[in-house]
Amino acid sequence: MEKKQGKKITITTTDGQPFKVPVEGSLGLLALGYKGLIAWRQVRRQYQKVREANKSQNENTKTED
Amino acid sequence: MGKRIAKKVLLIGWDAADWKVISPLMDAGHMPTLEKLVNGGVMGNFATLDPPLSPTLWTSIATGKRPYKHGIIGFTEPDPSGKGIRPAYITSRKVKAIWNIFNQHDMKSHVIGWWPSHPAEPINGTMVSNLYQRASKPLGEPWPMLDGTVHPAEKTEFYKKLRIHPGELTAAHILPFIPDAKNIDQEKDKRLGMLTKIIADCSTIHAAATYILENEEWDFLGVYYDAIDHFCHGFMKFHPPQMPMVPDDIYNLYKDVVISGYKYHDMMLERLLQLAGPDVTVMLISDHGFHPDHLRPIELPKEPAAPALEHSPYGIFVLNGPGIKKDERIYGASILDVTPTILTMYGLPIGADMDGNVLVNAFEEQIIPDKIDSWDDIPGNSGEHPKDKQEDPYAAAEAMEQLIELGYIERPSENIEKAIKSTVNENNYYLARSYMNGRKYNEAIEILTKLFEENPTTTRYGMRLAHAYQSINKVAETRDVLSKLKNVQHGRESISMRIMEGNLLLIENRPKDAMELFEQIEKDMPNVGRVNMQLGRCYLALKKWKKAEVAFVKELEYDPGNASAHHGLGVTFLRRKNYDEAIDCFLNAVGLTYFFPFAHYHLGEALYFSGEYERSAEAFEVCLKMAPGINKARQMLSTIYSEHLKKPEIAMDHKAKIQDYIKGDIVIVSGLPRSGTSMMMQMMDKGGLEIFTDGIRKPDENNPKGYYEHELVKSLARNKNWVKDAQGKCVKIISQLLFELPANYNYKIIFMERDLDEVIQSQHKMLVRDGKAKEDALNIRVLNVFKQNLERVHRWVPAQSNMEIIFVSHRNLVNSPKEELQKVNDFLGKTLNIDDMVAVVDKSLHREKSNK
Repeated sequence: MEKKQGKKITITTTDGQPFKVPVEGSLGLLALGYKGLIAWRQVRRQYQKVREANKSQNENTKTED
Repeated sequence: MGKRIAKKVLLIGWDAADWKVISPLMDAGHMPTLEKLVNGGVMGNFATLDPPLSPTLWTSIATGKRPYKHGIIGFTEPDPSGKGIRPAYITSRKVKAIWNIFNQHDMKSHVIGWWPSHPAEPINGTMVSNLYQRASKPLGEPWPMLDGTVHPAEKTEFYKKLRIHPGELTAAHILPFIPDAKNIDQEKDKRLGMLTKIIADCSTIHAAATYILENEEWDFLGVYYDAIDHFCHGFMKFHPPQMPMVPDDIYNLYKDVVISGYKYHDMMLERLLQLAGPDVTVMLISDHGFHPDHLRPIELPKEPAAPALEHSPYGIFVLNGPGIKKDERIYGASILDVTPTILTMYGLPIGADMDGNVLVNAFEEQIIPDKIDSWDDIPGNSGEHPKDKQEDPYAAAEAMEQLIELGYIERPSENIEKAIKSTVNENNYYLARSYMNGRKYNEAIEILTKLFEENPTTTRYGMRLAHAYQSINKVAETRDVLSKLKNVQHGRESISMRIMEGNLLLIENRPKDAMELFEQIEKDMPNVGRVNMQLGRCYLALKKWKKAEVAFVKELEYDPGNASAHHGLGVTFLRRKNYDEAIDCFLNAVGLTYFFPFAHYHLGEALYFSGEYERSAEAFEVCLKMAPGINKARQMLSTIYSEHLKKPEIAMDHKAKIQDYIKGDIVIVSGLPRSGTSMMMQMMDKGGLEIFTDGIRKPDENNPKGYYEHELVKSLARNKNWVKDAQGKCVKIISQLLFELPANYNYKIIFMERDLDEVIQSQHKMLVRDGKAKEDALNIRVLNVFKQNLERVHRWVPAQSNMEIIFVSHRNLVNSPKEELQKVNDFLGKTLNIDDMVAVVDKSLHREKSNK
């Protein structure tokens, strides 16, 4: 159901398809236990990074304007 | 070592889980994992202990022992440093837990969140304590972890990261519980915060458990989830059906929380089972249930641990794995059975000092558990804390007080002192309740007497003391406590006190007075005073079978889980010879509370009269296993095996064992009324035997030398409590009542035989003298009844191994007393003064003589 890829954890469905971990998490992920928790936190961190990067890019664009 | 049937055991605790919630959810397909587990294994009710306090119960589960043995007796305890109080610590546990026993067998155990398990014990495996998951600061602020939370300590940092903070949760986690969460005014209503805490805490425990299952070697894993209990305490009042005091808007907001909590546990269970693998033995248990229906209390008293009143007495258990039966229900399990059962599954002996039993009916093969005296005597590395770290917080509190008194230590602030004192008091109260639950009433009375003396206004201490006295039939002592309680309450009598007074009347064999009191209570407080059970008992005692039936049915409409009501109802059917209905009722009673010796006894009786001798024998055997002193069951077994099942050796065994449970000897003078029993009693008196009489019935024209009777004897059919007082004495009992004598005494019966015509004549004359019959209206219809009775005595008494009988001819006794009394003296062991006895005979009183 889930595979370890180095430190990054990916979750797959029972039929082997990759499961896109929602950034807001889910009860299902918590029920999956520590792996669901880690996968969710990874996605959440990634999302925050991207958001912060976008934010700073927007601010840079504004400054350039 | 015995045969090992479990390779690995996964023990999952769901605090407060209750079949009453689970069954409809499983039926609707909302708990598919649990349903599969149940179908592939055995399940049943799990009887809890009193008091139903989780730290004490989970320690009983892990040790197989009652709280007064294991030492965890409350939620909190005095901090041995004297600085205040603290949550119950594992270091206060006085005996080994199951994982300590495994440690001594080099098995690897992991224990997550067990209550109490702080500070974590140094076992061969991981222990994550029950103080692991609580977030105390807002998200983003440092979230330290108490020292001792994780063993081995080097894993502390890793487990810290698996903790989930309530602040991390999002709408995705909350909406399945509260779909309209956005409408909550969180300034006024703090329930949403409570919910997120519960979800975060149990998900933290689950994260740790799943990590261990996937990454560690293990033989035993015990994981404890407290969330169902917390969901229920917070939200059961909003669970359907809507309770009258809950407003519609609040009900609609929170009505799904409990159900969603259970569904979430089913999801977590699925993951645990997936990681544990296919050949693991899984035991899923709860320590008590939680009323989800009309039994939910509307209001809780303002006293410590009051929320425990919301608990129901039955938790759940499911056992599934290799060697375990499939799709079967097991009756009579108790939380005390967990440790003995798991030890047996590992092929390890159980401790004879454990209070629980092995659930042998759950196993496919017949397994006879091995036993040792106590695991606590077995040396070796048990993974417990070193002795210097183990504490007795109550002894420490006392020692501290002594040091303060001696002036060595400064007295702590008044508040701290008050908190310590009140914790010690409450825990002593729980300890007393635990003793009562284990039927150790004298120990309970000692504690409660002190508590009540020191705290006379704390009425629950007094009420519990009265209950303890009542449980051992100490009527005067109970009344004394009740009167003190009445004084404290300025003459006011609470409903519980009135009910207890009614119970005392029942003990005193005054069922009519008791009935009148209970009927009055019912009239005075139709909604509060629920006295159906008590009324049912009164009607049973008065042989008002139909009224008793109505009372018990009423009780069962209110609480279908009341085993005593099923039993009472069964007795009403049994006595009216409706054996099929009686059997159903008794089966219901033992299905709910297996440890119910009298329900098994009556089941045996009903089956016997239905001609189902094998099943009847089984029921009597179970009864005796639970209460070996019920000699009547042994007598029934002896009859069944000799007369019906044709197994004379087993019958003899039972007969022989009767003597092991005999409490004492009683001399009985018996016979038909007017057969010379009073004369024989007088002889016994003169001969030197102590007579059991109350002197109430005075000599009269019918019996100028006295009756030598005791009023209580008349009630023998319904009240046998007085028999113990007749021990070592001589008592007069008419022949019709001989069959009601309890089987745990030896009886030497002197049976007076008199010509039946003379008996009937004499009885008639007596009735005429008393104005109860006309001179010329002799009732000879009773003749046959008397004959049958005498035949039964001749047949039945010699077959009882605890009875010896000598038949004494009234005529011979009058005509040649010395000769006849010599035989009686030989029968009683030659201790009587014959000459004084002979002097009793007064031939002038032999007024009715037949010509035969």
